[in-house]
Amino acid sequence: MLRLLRREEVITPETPDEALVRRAQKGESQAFKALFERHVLAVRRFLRDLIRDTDAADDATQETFTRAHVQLPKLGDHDRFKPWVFGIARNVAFEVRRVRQHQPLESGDDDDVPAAVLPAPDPERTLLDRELEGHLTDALASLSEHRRAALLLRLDHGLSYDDIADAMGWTLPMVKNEIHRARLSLRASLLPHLGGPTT
Amino acid sequence: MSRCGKTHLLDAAVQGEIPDEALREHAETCPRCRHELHWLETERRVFRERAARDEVQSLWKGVAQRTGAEPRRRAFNRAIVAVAATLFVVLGVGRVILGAPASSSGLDASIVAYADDSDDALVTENAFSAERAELCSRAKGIGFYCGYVPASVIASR
Repeated sequence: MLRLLRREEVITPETPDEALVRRAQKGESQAFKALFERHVLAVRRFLRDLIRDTDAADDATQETFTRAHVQLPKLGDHDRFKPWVFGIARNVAFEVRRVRQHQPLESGDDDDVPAAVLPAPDPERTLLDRELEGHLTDALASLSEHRRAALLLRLDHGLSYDDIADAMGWTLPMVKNEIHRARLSLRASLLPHLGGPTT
Repeated sequence: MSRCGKTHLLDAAVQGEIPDEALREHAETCPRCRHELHWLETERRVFRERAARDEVQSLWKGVAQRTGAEPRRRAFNRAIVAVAATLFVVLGVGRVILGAPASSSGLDASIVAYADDSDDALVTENAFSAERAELCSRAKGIGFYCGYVPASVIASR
């Protein structure tokens, strides 16, 4: 009893994912709940960006964490929960899209990558207002799903290239290439809304 | 802009994966790196603000539920119903005072039949007799009962 109480007290925002994963694998439900609370918003945002339907994204979020709970005992790298759960989310998103649309995944009409060197944005215009957020959403939507997923994992969720390679099932050079192309497309789309060149 | 061997490191530096001080110093004198750094920081800031807003929105939903946005809507609905009921009552009383003739048009036949058969006071406007109208028009004071209950009040029960 005392041991259980002490365990519950130990979980804090500073408790690393690695420790929580180990404890969750031993059946400590509070540890899994802590992992859920720590990552659910990011996972939901990622799924919303991929699926572009809030309700479906909420369902997909629940499905992602349900699968994570079931598959958690198989997670060997305890410190890689975040890329691992994003990998599950990415699979769930693609399944949802496939079921909903009965169509193959978007092939991606963003292959016309703009020139590598674009003018720089105006710093005073980069405060994210509603309008700019809308342009950002449109710019993300114009990317193919796989490329969008990779870019979001880097820019929005801060995963390393190695982690993205794991989550996406890609090679490292492919991750770098896809993110580079996605980045150039995103910048070209956002530039008109971020002010003129200031280089 | 000329090529620079350090530009590709800036992404990792901005993400905090490698030390960034030396690279930032270098970027001050390298146009290509300065340009790239500017974009990387813009992207980072925009996505961070977007993430922060997302959390605020989701938290706000919880706050809105707890602070009772729903009860406020119910209160508004109640006010509408109260106004409608008052209007019915006022119209009914006005008709009585002016001595308008009873009409059964638009009234359910069973209600009228029940009102006609009943000795009790639960009658409709249409079954309201001239005698009672006279009684009610003269009567005043709290608790006075003239035997007239408007149909709107019956319906509201």
